[in-house]
Amino acid sequence: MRWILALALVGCDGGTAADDSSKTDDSGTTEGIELSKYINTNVTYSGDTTCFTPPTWLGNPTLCDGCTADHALKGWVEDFESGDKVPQADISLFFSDDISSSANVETKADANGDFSATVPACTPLGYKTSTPVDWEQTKDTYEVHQIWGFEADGELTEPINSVSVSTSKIIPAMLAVEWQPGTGIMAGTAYDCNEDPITGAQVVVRAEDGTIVDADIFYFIDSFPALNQPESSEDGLWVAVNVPPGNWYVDMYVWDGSTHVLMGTTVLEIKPDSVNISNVYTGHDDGIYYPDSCIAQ
Amino acid sequence: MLSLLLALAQPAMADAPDNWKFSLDGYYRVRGFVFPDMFPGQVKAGTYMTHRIRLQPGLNFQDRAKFFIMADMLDGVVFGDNQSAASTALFAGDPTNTSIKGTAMDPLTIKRAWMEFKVPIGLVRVGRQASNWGMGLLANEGNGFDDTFGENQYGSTYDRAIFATRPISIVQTIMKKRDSGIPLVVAVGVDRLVEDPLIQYYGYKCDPEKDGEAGCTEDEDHGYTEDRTEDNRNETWWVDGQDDVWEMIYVLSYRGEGVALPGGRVGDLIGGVYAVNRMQAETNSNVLILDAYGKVEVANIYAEGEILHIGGNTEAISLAGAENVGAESPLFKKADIWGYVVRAGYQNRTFTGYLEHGYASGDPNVADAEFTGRPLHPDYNVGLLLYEEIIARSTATVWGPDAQGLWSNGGVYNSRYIFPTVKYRPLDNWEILGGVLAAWPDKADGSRIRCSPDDPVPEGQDPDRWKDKCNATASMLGYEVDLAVKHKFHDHINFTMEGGYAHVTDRIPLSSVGLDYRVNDKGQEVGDFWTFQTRIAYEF
Repeated sequence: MRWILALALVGCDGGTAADDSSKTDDSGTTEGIELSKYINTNVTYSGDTTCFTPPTWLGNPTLCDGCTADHALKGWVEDFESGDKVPQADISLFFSDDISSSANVETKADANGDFSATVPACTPLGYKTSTPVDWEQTKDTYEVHQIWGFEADGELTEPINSVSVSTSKIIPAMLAVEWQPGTGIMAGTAYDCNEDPITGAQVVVRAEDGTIVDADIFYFIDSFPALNQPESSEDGLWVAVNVPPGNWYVDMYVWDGSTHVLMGTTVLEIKPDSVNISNVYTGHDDGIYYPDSCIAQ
Repeated sequence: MLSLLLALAQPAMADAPDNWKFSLDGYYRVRGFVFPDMFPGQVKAGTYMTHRIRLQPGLNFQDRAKFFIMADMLDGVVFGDNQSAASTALFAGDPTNTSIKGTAMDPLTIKRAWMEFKVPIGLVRVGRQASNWGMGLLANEGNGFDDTFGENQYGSTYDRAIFATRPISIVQTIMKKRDSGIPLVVAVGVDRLVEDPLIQYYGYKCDPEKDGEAGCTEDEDHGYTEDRTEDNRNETWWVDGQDDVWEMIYVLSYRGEGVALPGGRVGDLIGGVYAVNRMQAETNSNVLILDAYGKVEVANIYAEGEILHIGGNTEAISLAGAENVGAESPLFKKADIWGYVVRAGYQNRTFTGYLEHGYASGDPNVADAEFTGRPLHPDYNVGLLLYEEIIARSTATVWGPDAQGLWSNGGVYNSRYIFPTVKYRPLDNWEILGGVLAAWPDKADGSRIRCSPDDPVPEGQDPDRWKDKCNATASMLGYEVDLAVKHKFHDHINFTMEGGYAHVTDRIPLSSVGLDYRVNDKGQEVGDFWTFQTRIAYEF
């Protein structure tokens, strides 16, 4: 088994942790869960965060003219764990970055796992990959805030992720967690200003009002899910299991030697029995990070 | 192994007439299964029937040289045309070969082929052969219908060369003394388990994510392991000895029947030790398996037991442990696995009653440096439902298809149990059986076996997280009641009816693995399962 997950997932104001917010309600959040249950490391983080001075978020950059033009995407569906192409997968692309909206493109990968579509560059978008449930091949996989950079020739060659049923089972099993039916898994990478993984980051899942979701959150070591790794390692990877369906915020904190500092947030919607991918970027409160090719010089 | 030892345990016999003898052993078996309530929303009992034809022809030259082959046909094939050979199911005619997994399967498999021949000081057996020891907790040949309940489905088979001898007889012969016939056998053998694994092992020699692409040569652009296909092999694929997996086998066995025992009694005394040393150079694997078996039977009272321990070191398991990252060998794992079964009771011609207790150690964290869990052999059947169906399905679902090595496959898994059983034989060819199984978890892990706040916190688990997420209330995994009637007629027809009921507690994650459950009046998620099974077999 090759466990190089290769999570280079193409992919409130900031400030110190002060408020601690237990009783689960219908929304899936639990009143009374203290932030310290999830944000508690005393390991000083490692990563370049000089671009961000809390609590003022960086905001989105000014995009270069014409950067959002449609591009011809030569894509393929790639298994999240093995890197193998996934044939015959159904693909939905959401140019609004909203996976509950109507898909702008619905297509299917061929027998080799390849597909093509016309997509806007420099535009946050969401996608879903799936195979028929009866096949028991893949889990419905969603990723949001995906931005593909501008290419002068108007052509993009990019993979999109699909998580196999096998991987979706092994990760909770290795983490000694029972994946409850009807809930989702969310996963991503904690990035610094240079889009390098942050060592020492912790994440917490919350509702818009700050109420914390009682999810099972774990980190990885060398791209392996690790039971007793309390904060992100050099790979920056995190995973939250048993997240109820709904719209949630994922806050990324680091320990600066004296306090826990909120460094970034992403927003994503969790669908039942699915795997949902979104990264968290330093200085950004929406999980949206534009590549350099999109930014006006 | 057992037959090899049996052959040697008997005093030397006069040569048979100088001719060839042909033998044919085997059976044709049909087994039917009924599961009325296995899955949520099941409105009608799920039923299916399977075949197995097992043929074992043999050639015997003067009892000095024998050759056997064992073939299974239609093994596990489900009745019916399940590959849609007929375009309209209603008009189906010819049945197809479909396993219970729903996939097409080869209708014929040559499972074993071996030769055995006598040499002046013993017996040699070479080839793809069955392995069986003791009660079958570790090595279980899976032949015949030897289980109290359930069916053999797997069977231990090895590519093996083994030599067995009776050392006391040799010494007595050298000393020109009469062979006293003491049934002490020593055997030494070697198994070749793998010549060249398709899953290529690279360890941590190069990890592009860690060392950068520049740190890796072209051939080392990989992670820990990499799947290959046969096409990736060159002509010298077999030369590399570093990746070979092989094991040495050492057996010391005494099989005394009608021997004088302390207290002046006469009885049967059987015992021995089976040791296996498994090795693979490139993964620094050196694993020692020790399995001791003993049985004593005096005046209708008998007791037997088998205990096994698997210990040693390996770097072959690619579920790397977080605890070892940064160590000299991040893939290092130390095996420390235990299992045992003890059984004691009374038996005479018409009645048998015994109490059985067994154990298989569990592993609460398969990713750490300690590898402590392994189920007992799946052909050592304990009951019809709890282990055979519920935990087998649960572990398969939790781990998924890429981690089949961690499935229980129906073996006793991460638990201890008691299983009192009675058998009544009103006639020589009729047997009525009943048993009650009760099982408790060994090391709850949170996903395969739910944990309770009272369970000890496994090493590597955060105590607060453990207490927070462990909400199982039961101490038991569950209990089960099994009944069976077995009848043999026309000398060769073996007919069995078996039924069982199991109550499963909230220790098993029924809801999340897709098994039927209900919430009882205490708010606990529990399951009640029934099965009815039949077997009819023609033995020859």
